[in-house]
Amino acid sequence: MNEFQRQYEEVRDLLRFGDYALVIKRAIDFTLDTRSVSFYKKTNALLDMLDDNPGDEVKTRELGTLLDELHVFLSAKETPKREKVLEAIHIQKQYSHSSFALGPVNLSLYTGDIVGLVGENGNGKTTLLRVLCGELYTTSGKVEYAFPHKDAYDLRTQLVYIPQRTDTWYGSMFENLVFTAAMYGYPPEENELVVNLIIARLGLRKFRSHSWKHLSSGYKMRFELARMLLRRPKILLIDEPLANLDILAQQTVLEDFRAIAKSPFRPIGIILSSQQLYEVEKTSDQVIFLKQGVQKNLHNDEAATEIKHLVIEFESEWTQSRLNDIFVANGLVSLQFNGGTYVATFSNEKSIHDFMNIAIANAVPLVYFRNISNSTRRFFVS
Amino acid sequence: MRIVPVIIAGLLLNIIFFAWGFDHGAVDFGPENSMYYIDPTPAIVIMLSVVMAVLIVILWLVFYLRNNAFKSYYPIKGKALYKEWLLLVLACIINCTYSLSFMYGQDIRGRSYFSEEEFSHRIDVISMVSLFADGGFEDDGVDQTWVNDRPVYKKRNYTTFRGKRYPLNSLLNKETADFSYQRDGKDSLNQDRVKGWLAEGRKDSVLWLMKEFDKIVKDHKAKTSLTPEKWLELVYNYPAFSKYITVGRIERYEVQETMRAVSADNVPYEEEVAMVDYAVEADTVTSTEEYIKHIDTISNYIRVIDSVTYIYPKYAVPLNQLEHAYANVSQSYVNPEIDRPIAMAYVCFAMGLSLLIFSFRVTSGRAWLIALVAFGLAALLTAFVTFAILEKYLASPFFSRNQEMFYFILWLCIVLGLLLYFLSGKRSKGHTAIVLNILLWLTPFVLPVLLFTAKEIVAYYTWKRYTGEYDDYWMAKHMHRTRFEAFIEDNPVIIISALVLGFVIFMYFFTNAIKRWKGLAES
Repeated sequence: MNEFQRQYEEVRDLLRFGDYALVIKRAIDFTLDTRSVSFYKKTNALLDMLDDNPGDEVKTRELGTLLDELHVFLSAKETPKREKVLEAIHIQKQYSHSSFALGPVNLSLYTGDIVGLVGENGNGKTTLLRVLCGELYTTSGKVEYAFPHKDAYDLRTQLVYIPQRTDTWYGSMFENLVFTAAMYGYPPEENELVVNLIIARLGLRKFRSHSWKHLSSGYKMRFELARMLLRRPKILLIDEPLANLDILAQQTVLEDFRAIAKSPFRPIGIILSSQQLYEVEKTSDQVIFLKQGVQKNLHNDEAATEIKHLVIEFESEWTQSRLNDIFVANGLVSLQFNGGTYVATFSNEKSIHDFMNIAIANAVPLVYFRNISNSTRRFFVS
Repeated sequence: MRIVPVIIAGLLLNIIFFAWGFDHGAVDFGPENSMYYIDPTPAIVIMLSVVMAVLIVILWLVFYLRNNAFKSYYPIKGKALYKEWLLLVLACIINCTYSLSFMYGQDIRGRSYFSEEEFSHRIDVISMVSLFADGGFEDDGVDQTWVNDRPVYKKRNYTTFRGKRYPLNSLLNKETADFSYQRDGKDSLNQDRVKGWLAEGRKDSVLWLMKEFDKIVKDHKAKTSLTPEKWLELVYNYPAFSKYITVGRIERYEVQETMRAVSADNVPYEEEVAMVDYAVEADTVTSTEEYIKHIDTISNYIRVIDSVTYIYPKYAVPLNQLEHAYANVSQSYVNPEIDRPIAMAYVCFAMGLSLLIFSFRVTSGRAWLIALVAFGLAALLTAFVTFAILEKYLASPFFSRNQEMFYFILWLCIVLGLLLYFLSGKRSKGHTAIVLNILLWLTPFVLPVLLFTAKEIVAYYTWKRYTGEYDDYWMAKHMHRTRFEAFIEDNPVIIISALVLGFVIFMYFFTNAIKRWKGLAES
């Protein structure tokens, strides 16, 4: 079973469970995979029909029919292999006017992969993204792009960098997307069809005639994503996409990233930076932690030989000394108070269950706890 | 780009200005049309067109500069940037030509009254028939010779036409009206033709001419007190044509204090050796009364109305008003408000404006301003160096205008140097945004400066070598000018068009270079 078949079965399950919102999103993804005007029209017609809020039976029937047709069409289509799109080899970046230096950084990005960049403020995340997208040149090392491009301009048409603060756009959102599609070679008969699909895909259908200044930051981010999707890049580099988003919006956007990256027919590589460690770690295939410009990967080959301590982040109303007295007798290596939470490091023989038993035995009042032994969160602790 | 609204607005305004010009260009065929007045309309038009153009450009720029695809992302469509510049040129041309449309409307109105063939016929008729109305004489009967470096005047009481002698007041000595449209000596041919009819006694031809004139008069509903037959009777007096009633060319005219007439004959003749200047004091009439004494009362009445003395020709044709009106129409053909060099000047200006906007568009406001200041300072500095410091050292054998040429060539070198710098491989943009602005503003001048320099070099090696042989500098040029120079000087429209086309082609390649530059690292 290839990736498309697997995803198709997943969508079928979602339809069975009545999760129409997700089914519609995936149906749109499949429609965009077809690159066929007739499917664009069919799906647009379906979306218009769904706007009238028909009953579940109608929805199930219509969506099922569309999915069947998409399945027949796409089953005959070859899925591209997973391939490397970018390799950063020992890149370093030194700003002449400051002592900060990024690197050396090594990373490889494949189609379908999501790489998260995390780190404290001012540690080189944005610098790394800008180096990778070509906005900055390296002091040493190189970035190789494994897809054909004529020159630097052509390269940058194939990768999208969305900075943290984006430009203001004027006019309605729909007009801007049609304009982008026209700039990116969509013929007139496809332009508005594709734009409408992408708008629906990202939940922006109600906001198509809104202007930029009337959108919340979450919807602005989705608008940038919509524009990115129209550009069909090989690589997406995005700086702090989850900033200013509520928790639900964060989940939605990350889910969208996953779907976009792991599209069976249009996979792209994504590198995103964020402060939302746990959310990024759930979504990403690899997480890079930057501290003072130096790289530390969450998943690497050294993990097998590295001594893995048990690191627990928790919140308690007890004082540090009282907690220290309890845990030090149970293999505690260090206890740090870090921004309202405690980070306890235990020896590698201890497990999460041991921690829970100690806490229960001593009636330690815990507001919450989390095992961050496999999270980049632990790197934030000195 | 909001190109459609701005083009529509521009076209509408052009149509409005054209209509205004068309209306304003109406030729007055009425009797008051030769009164002089200062027409403020052209000044108002120019002012309004500048104001409208500025307003439209500002309004348009507010929208145009907002969403900048080239700055915000990397448009994939092949020649999008080049097409954008071409559209910008089009929008600027449409927006800068309001006054041009007004003037063109005027010209078109002037030419709209008749077909060109009909117009040519009418002015021929008016020109020839003016022989038979009040007017001046060609030959004053005075011949001048020089004896011992002093002028000697000999009076004659006849004039000659086709070998025969006629009295000085004969119709065969009359002047005729001419119009600027009558090129290549057509006016002289017409005059010769009608005088030939008189000399040959072709009364029917003269009558035909007067009937043609009468048709024109009736067409314009002008007033005349003569029928063609009556007119012929008054003036046709074969073979001398010296006894005739002077037919007025206007219904009446006022006697001004400054009017003069030839009174006493103050010309020194051969017998007299007094050193009197012929033209001085001969015509002085000190008062209206003296002037009136010399008026031909056979042909005219004199009336005083409200203390103003008027001369009323007994017989008159509306020749003055028709001559004045048709002269205006003639000007619209021969010396129109708009001709190709003027139109090309508008195009060049619009193109310059488009480059100013385009450079802002592809770089940034900050780079644009810095470039403007840098260019201004550099221009001042180089001018100071050229015209103040290096003045005595610029003794190039090549150019008579050494300092100007040095200044141009210096800037040519600067521009070419900047171009090479811009096109050379770099890792990052650095300050090239500033350089790009200056290049976009100055590269249109490269070809003209090269052409001008080439022309000067050729001139030096050709006709300028002969200036010492002729008294007149221009005679040397006239005699020894090369075909290359002649072609450039005599065909400004072709040259400017070629230069404009050359620049348009250059921009095709340069916009590609700008695209590649866009892909460079920012820093």
